[in-house]
Amino acid sequence: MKANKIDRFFSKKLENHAATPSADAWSRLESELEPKEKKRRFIWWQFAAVFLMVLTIGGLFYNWTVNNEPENLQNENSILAELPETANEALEREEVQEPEAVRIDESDVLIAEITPEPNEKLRVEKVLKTDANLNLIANNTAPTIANPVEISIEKLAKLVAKSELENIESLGLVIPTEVIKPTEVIQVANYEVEIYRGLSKPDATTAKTQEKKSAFKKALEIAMDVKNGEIGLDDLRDLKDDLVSNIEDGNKAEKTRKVVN
Amino acid sequence: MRLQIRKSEQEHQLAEGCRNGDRKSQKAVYERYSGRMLSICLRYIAQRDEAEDIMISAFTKIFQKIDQYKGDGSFEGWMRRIVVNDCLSQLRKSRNMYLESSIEMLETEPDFHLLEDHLEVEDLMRLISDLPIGYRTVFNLYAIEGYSHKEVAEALNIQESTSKSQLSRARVLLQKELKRLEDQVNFKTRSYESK
Repeated sequence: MKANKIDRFFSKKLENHAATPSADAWSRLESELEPKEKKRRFIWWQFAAVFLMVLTIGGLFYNWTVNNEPENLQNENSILAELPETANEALEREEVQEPEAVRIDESDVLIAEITPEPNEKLRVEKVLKTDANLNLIANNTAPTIANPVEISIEKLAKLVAKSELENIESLGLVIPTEVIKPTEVIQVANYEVEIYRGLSKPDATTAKTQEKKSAFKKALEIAMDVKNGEIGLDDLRDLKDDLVSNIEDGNKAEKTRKVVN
Repeated sequence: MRLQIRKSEQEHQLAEGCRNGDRKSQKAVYERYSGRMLSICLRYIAQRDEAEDIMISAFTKIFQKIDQYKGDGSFEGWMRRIVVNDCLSQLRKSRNMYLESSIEMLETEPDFHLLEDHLEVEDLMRLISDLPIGYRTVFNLYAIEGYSHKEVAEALNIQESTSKSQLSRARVLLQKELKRLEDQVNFKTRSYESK
């Protein structure tokens, strides 16, 4: 290609021409190079922040589900409670023990999560202890005993005889769990959890807890009757049968609790 | 020949330093080439501040994308292409580039020898800056950067024929201006002689 004279004239003079940049040009360039590195670091911070946020949300969600679990557990309980329809009493005992262990865990979580009024906390802990004791007793006795219900009544009688009624009442409604047979211990544990949860939502649950307290007193009366010999083994069996049949009809855990009471 | 080899060796060493993100090498590259790169920018973008901004951002691009320089061609040539492309994209962003106007060809050619002796580089830079933007861009790419019409057409997203017509119009305008300058030079020398 024939190079144009004008082209050549200009390119010869301009090709290697150098202008002088202003004095601050390098520092401007440098500062443009720096922020890129800072930005990259900032991006890592953002990643870290997002990760933490996900963790926090995950944790909150986990707490939320744990707090809402008692409902689920009650449902499970009722499903388990339908078993006695075909099962013998030994099986029933197993059923009693297993959910208990679960419920203790759950109460632990509740204690850890929310800080209740000191008294209430104390109570829950006491219940846990008594539950644990009963578990021990049940485990020790279960393999050798043919009729668990009978044994329970013996124990009931002994325990009630040992303890003074005034002490029981002064300690509140919790301590008597010791004098009630294992089936009811579940309900006691439940009851405590319910009271406990009631603290955060007082309006909705006060009536419920009142109802339970009176029901609990009834249970205590039954226990006293057993001790005094006014209610015999047959009567207890009838109560139990009622319970089972009610579960069959039943509106889940809510009804089972009423029948026991 | 030996000089050229030494030059390319230095270039490669500097490029290698930049590749490692070494700030000293970056500054050395800047010191060595910023003037030439700024001169390129000024040919495309007449405003000094704007041209310098382009130069600076082109250098940041050069340092960040240094890995794309394979080292097989000249380092300066690679940098020039980046600077030219940045100028072009700036022009695309901000201006309506192509104006068509009819310019009659000039019969007489300027006296290049005389002009070469009397004109400074800055005068030529000014002539280019004063060109309409479309003419200027095509003239820069074709006449000074050495692009073909095909490359110019691709770079500016125009027809090759447009590139050709813009170039010839740019030449005509420059020739006119050179003629005017020649007259001035002649006038000065003549008045000097008469004294």
